[in-house]
Amino acid sequence: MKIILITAVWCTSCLIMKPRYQELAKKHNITDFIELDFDMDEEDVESLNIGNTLPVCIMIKEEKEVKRVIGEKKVKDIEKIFEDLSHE
Amino acid sequence: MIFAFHNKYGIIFAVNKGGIIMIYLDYSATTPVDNDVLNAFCEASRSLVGNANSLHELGIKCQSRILQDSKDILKNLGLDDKQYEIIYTSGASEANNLAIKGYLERFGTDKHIITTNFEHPSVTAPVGYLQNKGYQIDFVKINKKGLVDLVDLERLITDKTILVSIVSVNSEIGIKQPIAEIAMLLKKYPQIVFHSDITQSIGKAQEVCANIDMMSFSAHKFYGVKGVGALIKKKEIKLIPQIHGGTSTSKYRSGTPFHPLIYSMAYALQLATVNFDNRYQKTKTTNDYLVKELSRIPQVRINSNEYAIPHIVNFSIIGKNSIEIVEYMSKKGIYISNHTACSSKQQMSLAVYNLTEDKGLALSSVRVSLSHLTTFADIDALINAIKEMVN
Repeated sequence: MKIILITAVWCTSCLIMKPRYQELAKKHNITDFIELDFDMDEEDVESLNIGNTLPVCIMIKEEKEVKRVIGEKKVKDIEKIFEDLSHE
Repeated sequence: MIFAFHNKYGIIFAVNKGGIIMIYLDYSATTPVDNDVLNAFCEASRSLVGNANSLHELGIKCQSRILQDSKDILKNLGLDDKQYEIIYTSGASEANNLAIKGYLERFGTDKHIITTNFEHPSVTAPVGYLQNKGYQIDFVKINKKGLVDLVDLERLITDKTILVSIVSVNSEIGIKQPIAEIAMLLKKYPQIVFHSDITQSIGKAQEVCANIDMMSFSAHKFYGVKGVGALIKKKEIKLIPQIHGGTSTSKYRSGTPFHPLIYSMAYALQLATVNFDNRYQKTKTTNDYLVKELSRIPQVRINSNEYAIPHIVNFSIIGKNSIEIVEYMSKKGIYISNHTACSSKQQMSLAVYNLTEDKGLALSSVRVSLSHLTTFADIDALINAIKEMVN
């Protein structure tokens, strides 16, 4: 699985969610983990059509987007998403 | 082109090219410069022509002026000049960056910072920058009234915690934090430096600054000139400068001392202090009127609560988008904000969402910010425009 995580340094939800995603990616041995900055990586972010709520976590399997998680979520909720996708 | 000015009677005359009267209700974004403050800036620019770093007589004169201004600023904030020093900056954003990055970067990345989700982006962004470098970050819980949960704050403190940064007044909802209580609690932990962004409370709330270790602000929020602010800190706190280039008014911030701006800021603060009670009461009266009138409109939900300063009223108009509301009002010549002017890329107000946990309210919220210059006629015009919009 590949993960693209879009955050911004000024966004509190991003600061809360970023370590959670990093931890889960580590736990599930996801090495293809790309982090994009909403402001600094503007061109790459624009092509992903992410809307106006941050952070955005895009999960990709076999070159296809399989899940998009937007905003602040509880650890157990994203843990479940990671587990479900790992077992698919 | 919009012409706006603030005359000696305290009235704003603001007209656009077509001669339509403008109603300014965005005083938390910035205030119009007071004419006397602007004159003070011009006078200091003309009369004090030297560089305060020069050793000759003109330089010494400028240096003396800055020393006197620093004493005056500290006195007006109730601070002891033996204990505190001022680092002059371009504004609160620079001061917040210097306080947070400048302090943390002296230590290893195993250190820990505690802040809130009510901060201005100029606090959250340096904290985010430090998180990217490996520092540990925690956000203290905010209770249902929007106040820092002191029990949670104490629970988060570890032996690695070296900085707590908590805003005195949130810029979007206006909630004032119990800064004196927080400072007292943190006194038990001598390894922790307490920083507060006091930008929205200076001149608007009776802040007790005495137990804060570092505080940041901008002059343009209290009728000063734009482009000047300060970080006030206890003398024993060491920082890594963010602008290098040799000692200036402070070894922590290089650059030619901008003494006319500093003088004008000291003068604006003097006026804000002397006129505090009068300005506060006038604002409170217009706030009461605005809240009463807003409460009569069924589609309006007021997000600011009893802990908010009277200068800020945040409310949502159900079924409308905040950008749509701001644009509608702007066409009517009424200037309000959807949220803090420094984070315009995100449509939703994070502060309203963090307080209410209601995305609908956060997406439809706007901030009206008042001043002693606001009149009942300004409020009537706003209320009429809201009624027109919802009907």
